[in-house]
Amino acid sequence: MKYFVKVREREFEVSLEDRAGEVFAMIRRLDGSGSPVEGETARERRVSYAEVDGLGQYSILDGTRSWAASIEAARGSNSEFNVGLAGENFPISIENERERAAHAAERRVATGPRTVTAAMPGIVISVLVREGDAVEKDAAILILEAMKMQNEVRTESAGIVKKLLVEPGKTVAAGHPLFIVTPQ
Amino acid sequence: MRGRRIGGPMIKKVLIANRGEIALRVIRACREMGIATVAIYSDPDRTALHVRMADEAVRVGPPPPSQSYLNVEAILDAAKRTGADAVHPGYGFLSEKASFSQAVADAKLIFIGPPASAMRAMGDKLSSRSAMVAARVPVVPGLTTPVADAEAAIREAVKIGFPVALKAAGGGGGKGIRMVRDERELPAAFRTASGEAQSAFNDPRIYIERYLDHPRHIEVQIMGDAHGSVVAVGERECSIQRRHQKLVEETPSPILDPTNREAMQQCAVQAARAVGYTNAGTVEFLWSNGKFYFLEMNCRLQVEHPVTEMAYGCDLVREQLRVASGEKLSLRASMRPRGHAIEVRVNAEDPERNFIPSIGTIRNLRLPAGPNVRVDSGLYRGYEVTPYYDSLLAKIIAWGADRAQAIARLDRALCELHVGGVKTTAPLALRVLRDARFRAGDFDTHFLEGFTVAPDREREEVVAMLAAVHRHLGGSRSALAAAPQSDANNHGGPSRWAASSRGRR
Repeated sequence: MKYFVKVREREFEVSLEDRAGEVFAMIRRLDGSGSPVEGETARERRVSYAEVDGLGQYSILDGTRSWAASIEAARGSNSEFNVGLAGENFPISIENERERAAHAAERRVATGPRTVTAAMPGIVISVLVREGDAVEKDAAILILEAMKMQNEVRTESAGIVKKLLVEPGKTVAAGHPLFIVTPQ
Repeated sequence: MRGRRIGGPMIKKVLIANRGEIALRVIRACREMGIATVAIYSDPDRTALHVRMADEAVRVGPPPPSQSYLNVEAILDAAKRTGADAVHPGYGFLSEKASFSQAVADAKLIFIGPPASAMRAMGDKLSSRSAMVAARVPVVPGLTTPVADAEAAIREAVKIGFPVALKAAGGGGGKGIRMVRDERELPAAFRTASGEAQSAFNDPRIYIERYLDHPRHIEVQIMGDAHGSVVAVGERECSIQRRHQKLVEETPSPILDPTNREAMQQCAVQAARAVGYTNAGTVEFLWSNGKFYFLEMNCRLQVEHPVTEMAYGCDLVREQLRVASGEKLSLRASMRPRGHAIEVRVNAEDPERNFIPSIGTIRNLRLPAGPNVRVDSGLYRGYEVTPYYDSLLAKIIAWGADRAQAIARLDRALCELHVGGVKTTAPLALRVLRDARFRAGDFDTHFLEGFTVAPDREREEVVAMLAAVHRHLGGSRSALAAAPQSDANNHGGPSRWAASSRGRR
């Protein structure tokens, strides 16, 4: 099981493995692009974890290294914690692989160029814009005929038409990319 | 001076007109002396430690201080109802209000603090400067009368020499102060300082002092009785502060040698005598380029009094109670410190976000212990930090045979401390203790400005690991994490982790 943990400004990938009732961890520091930092090697560590009092105190053994840690969730969150360790406070956020992928997709949706795909198989009847055009939200970009019905394919956000990936007369399958809009 | 007895019987019951750690501190001294105690509380403090530790407790009002801990009528009524014969004001709230001291005396109760006349004399910056000049106590060069307008201010500033500080005559706590480098800056600074003084203190009067560059803040503890004795009990170095809020305090000061320590203590005693001071008080000085200057006198017990107690082996609150009962001081003049004591304040403020107040409920609490560590705190599990009162939660004090040992001990204690649920100044204080300049004793009141420490890389890695393990094992109990492969129960039978994580909130 992989987790991605942001501690203050730095990000780590922590791979955990359960073997015979024990947990083993590999930690790699990630660079800004999410790849392991070159030249830093990870070693496997055996971790023992025990809750102390039900109020936020934990005992952690990293091999034989003992830590008296405090962990408090930020407002009941499962992804944001405050970790107290040896007099210091570390705000952290954590994602598992599934959440990381979902969050990354959300971020792409929010900021990056968005590729609009065909929701159904059909034929491109006409294209209503040119590359480089500025378009409003919900503007019609092209007309796709499917099951004898002509449907306008519209933008989800205002932006610039970055690329048209089809031309009139083209037959497309469901999921075929149609055009790319850079949101503005 | 009414209500002040000489050689009278010991006070029997004290009402503590305060809350938090200082109320508890006074209750403890009373208990040790066989004196009964009365706590007062506002609604949110119903379950506070000072209420539970006192013999009696009386509600004085709703949360806002103006209706509770500053409510003189309710407080005096509580004293009357419980038959208290003395009132201890603590620090803050009503402690430096001469009118309160007078009201207590008028109610035929003993005020455990200086006479109202001494508080009045020291309460006004200009009258205290005049009194100090007359008592031959060095003051920062400058005026003892207010300036009428910006033009007069320029004339006087030229005589004193730039840079100068414009200060509010009725002021304190850093409000109404402006540093002025030259003539051109002065008119605007005069207007803003005067306006700020008017709104903060209802007193627009401004006077001028020379601006001391990078001073240290060093203060002297004094104690006086009603028999004419006044003694100094060493100094406290309090330069580690932010906007006049102290963070780290220690005694002895690393900068004073025996000669200037003696001179500073002598001046503090002269200052106290000049205003007829009795009971505990603190004379604050600024130290700059090998000289010291009177800053102000705090007519009460100080927050940081424990460092003096630890290094001098005395009990200042006990002494306050004895002196207020009319007994003679048990402290000797020219006491010598034994070793070194240092304190940090744990405030509910976020040092990583410009010290904004942090409120919340303290669920997770671990207080330090061990040899020569003292914890003065009103904290307990379930304690709620509200926006109504001072942000001070606890003081951690350590004693050592020398400064390095005291610092190492306090470092150790702060590593044991955890106050969960709010952000505190403790991690910042720990970084200060580890700073090379601080350890060398090389600092001034500007030390905390821009103070940063490189993040601890090794700890960050450990934190990442334990956060992941917590999420993997403990956190898997939460409904939000349903991934089956993250459940420790997969290994057949409940594991010790699963068992130990049951019942967490």
